[in-house]
Amino acid sequence: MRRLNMVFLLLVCTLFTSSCWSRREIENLGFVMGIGLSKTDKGLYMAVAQVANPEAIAAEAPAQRDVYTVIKTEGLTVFDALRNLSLLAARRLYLAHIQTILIDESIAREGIGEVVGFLVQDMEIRLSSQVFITKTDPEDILDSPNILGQIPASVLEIAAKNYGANSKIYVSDLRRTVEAVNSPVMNYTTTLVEKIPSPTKYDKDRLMLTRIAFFHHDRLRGYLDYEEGQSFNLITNNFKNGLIVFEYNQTGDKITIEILKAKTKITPKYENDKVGFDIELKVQGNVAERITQRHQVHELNIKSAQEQLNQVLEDKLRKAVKNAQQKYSIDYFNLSKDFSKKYPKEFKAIKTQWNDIFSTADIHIKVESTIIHSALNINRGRI
Amino acid sequence: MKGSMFDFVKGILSRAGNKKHKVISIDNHLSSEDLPLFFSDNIDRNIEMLHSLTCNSDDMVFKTFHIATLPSMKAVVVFIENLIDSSILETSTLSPLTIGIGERPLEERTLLSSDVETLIEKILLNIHPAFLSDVKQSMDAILKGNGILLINGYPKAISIDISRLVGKKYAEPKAEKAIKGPQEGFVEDININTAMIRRKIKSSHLAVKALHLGRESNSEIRIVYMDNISHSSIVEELLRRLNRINVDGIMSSSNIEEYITDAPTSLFPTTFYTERPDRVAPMLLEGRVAIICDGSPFVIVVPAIISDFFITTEDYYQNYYFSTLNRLLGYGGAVILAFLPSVYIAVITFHQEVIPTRLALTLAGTKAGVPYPAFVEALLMEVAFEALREAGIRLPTHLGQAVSIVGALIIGQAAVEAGLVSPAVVIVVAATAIFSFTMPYSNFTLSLRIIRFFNMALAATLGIYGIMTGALIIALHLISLRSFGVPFMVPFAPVSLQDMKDWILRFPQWAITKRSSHIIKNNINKKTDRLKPHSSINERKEYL
Repeated sequence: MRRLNMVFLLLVCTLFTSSCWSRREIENLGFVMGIGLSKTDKGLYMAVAQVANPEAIAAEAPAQRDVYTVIKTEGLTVFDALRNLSLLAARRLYLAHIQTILIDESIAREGIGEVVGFLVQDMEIRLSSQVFITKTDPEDILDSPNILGQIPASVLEIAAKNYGANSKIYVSDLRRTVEAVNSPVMNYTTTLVEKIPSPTKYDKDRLMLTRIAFFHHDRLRGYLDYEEGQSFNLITNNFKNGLIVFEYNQTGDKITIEILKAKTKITPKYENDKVGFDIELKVQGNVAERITQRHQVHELNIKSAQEQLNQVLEDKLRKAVKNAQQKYSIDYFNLSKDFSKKYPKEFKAIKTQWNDIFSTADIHIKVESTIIHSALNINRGRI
Repeated sequence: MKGSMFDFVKGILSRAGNKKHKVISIDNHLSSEDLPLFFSDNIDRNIEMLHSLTCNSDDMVFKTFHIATLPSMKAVVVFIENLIDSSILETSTLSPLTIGIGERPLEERTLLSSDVETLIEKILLNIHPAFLSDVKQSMDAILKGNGILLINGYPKAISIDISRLVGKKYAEPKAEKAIKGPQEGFVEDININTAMIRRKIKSSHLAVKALHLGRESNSEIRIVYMDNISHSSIVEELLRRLNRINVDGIMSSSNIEEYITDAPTSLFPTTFYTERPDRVAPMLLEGRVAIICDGSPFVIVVPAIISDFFITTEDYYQNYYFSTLNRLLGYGGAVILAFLPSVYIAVITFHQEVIPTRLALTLAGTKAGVPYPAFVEALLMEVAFEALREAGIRLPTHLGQAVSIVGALIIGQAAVEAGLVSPAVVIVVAATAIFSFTMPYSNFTLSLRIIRFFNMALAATLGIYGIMTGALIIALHLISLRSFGVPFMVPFAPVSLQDMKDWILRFPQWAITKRSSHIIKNNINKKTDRLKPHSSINERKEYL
C-alpha cells in the first residue's frame, strides 16, 4: 500500500512538472511571423514584429495589407524591446511560428552574437527560421504588402528555401547561425535582403535576396555578388541547381549549362608548416540553351564544351578564392572545418590566426565536368 | 518485458515444434476416422455407438417406436432436430410403419416381418431408403439432414430422406451486412440456430450441449464447439461459469455475457457476439465455443480477442488485398475514434507550435469569433452527435443512422454560422463519427466512444501529455485483459506473427494454414501446406 501511494505521488508530481500547464486558446495568440532587430541612434535596441491577422487569412478574399500588422518598440536590450511589444500588442505574442529574422546591418557590423544568443535562449523560436541582413530599417522590409496577399515574412522564407533554383545566394537558418556564432573559428554567412522598386506603377515594391553577406566570425565585413555567390555555394557544397553561361570559343555561341549535380571534395594539406587545400569539383550538367551566332545550325562538340566549362568554372572559383584570400583575408568558406578534421592537433596551435594563415594558403582548384544531355544538340529545340 | 520476451521465444519454439509433428497429427485424425465400423444385431449397442460418435450432442434425437408387424419389432429413428422435416417423418415413416402396417391383413403382417428389406422398400418407397452397414456412412447421412432407421435384429441402418427443404426463410443480418456473402442470420429460435450451424459444419465432431438457465424463465442454452479442436479446459470453464448463473430469468444472450465475462468491470467486452452463422462456423473451426440462447438472434463466442471486433465476414468474400486495407482502416479508425478529438483539443490549446504555420493561422482565424474554449466546443458537438445517433436508432427504419449523421452535419453548420463552434471542430467530430461506424461490432465501438470523452478531458487539462497518460492506462488495461485464459490483445501482445496473418492483415486463404496456438493446444494445422495454386510448365504447354 505504501508503495502504491508512492507511485501515485510520483505520478501526480509528473503532472505538475510537464510544462504543459498553461492553457492558451489559439485565437488569443498573436502569431509573430517575422521579427526585425535594429539599433537607434541613441543606442537603444529596436524590435519590429510582424503579427499575422488570422481572421483576414481565413476570410475568403483577404485584402493584401490586412493579413498582417507591424508593431515596433524600443528597449535597452533585445529582450526588453521584445517585451515592450506586449505593451502594444492586443494579444499574447507567440514566437513559435517565426519564419524570418531580420538583423539590421548596424547590429551585424557590431556582431550578431549577443542578439542571436537571446533568440535561442527564448526556447519558443524554432531553429529552422531563416536569418537575413537588411540595410534599410527592418520594418521597411517587413511592411511590404504584395498583390498575392502573402505575409512578407513567408515570402522571404519561401525565397530562401528556393535558393536551389539559382544557387546564387545562401541563407542560414537560426540553427546554423547559432552554430557559427558559438564556434570560435567559423565565419558566418547569410543573405542580404533588399527592397527593389516595382516594375510598373500599379505593382508593389518587391523583396529580393541580393547578395551574400559574409562575416568575420560574427561581424559583418562585406557582401558577395551573384557570381561569387555561385562560387561560394560550389566550394561549400551547397550548390543545388544553377546556370553557368559562357561564350563557346569555337563558334561564339552563347551556351547555358544547367548544373544538375555538383560535388566538391576538399583535401587539406599540411606540409612544412604550410597549409594547403586541393579543391576538386565534379559537376554534371546539360545544355539548357544555345544562342547561335548568325543562326547557323551546327553540331556542338560536347568534348570541347566540357573542357571550356571546366575552364570557366576553374576561373570562377579561383577568382572567388583569391578575393577571399587577398581582398578580405577571411575564410568564409569555412575550410577550417575540413582542416581541423584532418589535422586536429596542428589546427589547435594555429587556430587563433587562422584567417591570416588561410590568406596565404596554397589552394589548388580542379574541375571535372560532364555534359550529359544532348537533346538540344543540332535541333536546338526545334521539332 | 521479460515475460513477453519469454512468451515470444516460447511461441517460436512451439511453432517449430508444430512443424515436426504436423503431418502426423493430420494423419492420426484421418486414420481413426477411416477405421470401418459396422452395425450389429443389437439395437441398443447401435444406439450407443451413434451416441458416442456424435459427442453425445443434445440436438440428436433418438425416437423409439415399434413396427406393427407380428411380433412387433423395436425400431429407432435417429436424426438431428430441425435438419429434418417432422411432418414428412410422420407421414412417410412413422404412420406407415405403425398404423399402416397395423391395418393390413394378419398374414401379410407376419409374412412381411420375415424380410426387412422388402418390407421397407415397399412401404418407404417415397423417401428413398438406402441400406447402410457402415456406421460412418450413416453418420454422414444424419449430418446431411437425413434420418436413420434402426430396427432391432437387423444389422444395417436404413437412411431415409426426410430433410427439410432449405429455402430463404431466415432473418437477414442487420448489423453485419455482407454484399457478396450469404444473407442469412440467426433467428430467435434456438433449434433453427443450431441447425444453421450444423448445416455449415457437417461433422460428427460438432458437439452441441444443452442446459437450462433461469429458475423461472427456464431458458434453454446450447453450447456448440468442435470436440476435436477446442481446448477442453475452455469448455469446462465455460460450463462451470454457466452453471454458476443462478438467477430467476435469462432473457437474451447479452444477459449471459455479463455473467460469464472475465473482466466484469472493464469497459471492454471480453466476449464476442455475432448474428451470422458464417461468422460462427469459422470461429468454431478455430477452436472457439459458441453459446446459443433461446430467444436471442445473437450467438456469443468465447474466448474473444481484440481482432475479432475488427474482422467482418465480408473480408473473406473479397479480394484479400482489399480486405487487408479494410482491416487496417478498421484499426486506424479505432485509434482515430478514441484520440482524434482529444488530439485536436491538445494541439489547439497547448501545442500550437506543432501545427503547420498556415494551418495554425487558418485555425486561429476560424476560431476567432467562438466564445468557448476548444474543449467545451468539442464536447458540445460530440454530445450533440451522440444524441442524434441515439435518436437515429429509435427511428423506425434502418435509415436512422444516415439521418443522424446528416443531422449532426446540419447542426454543425448552423452552429458554425451562429459562431458557437469553429468549422474545424465540426470536421473533427464528423470524422470521428464516420470512423465509429466503420467497425461492425457496436459493443467494442461503445467502449471507444466512452474512452474518447475521458481522453478529451485529459487533453483539456494536460495536453498531449495527458493523452499519452490516457493511452498508457488504456494499453496497460487492455494488455492485462484475458478471455477464458487467452490474452485479449493477441496477436499484438503477446506478439504472434503467425496469427497476424489472419487477424490483423488478411493473407490469402492458402497462406493461412494454422490455427492460433493461443486458443488451442493440439490439432494446430487446419490445412495442408503448399495450397497455393500453381501450374507447372507442362500444364501450361498443354493449355496452349
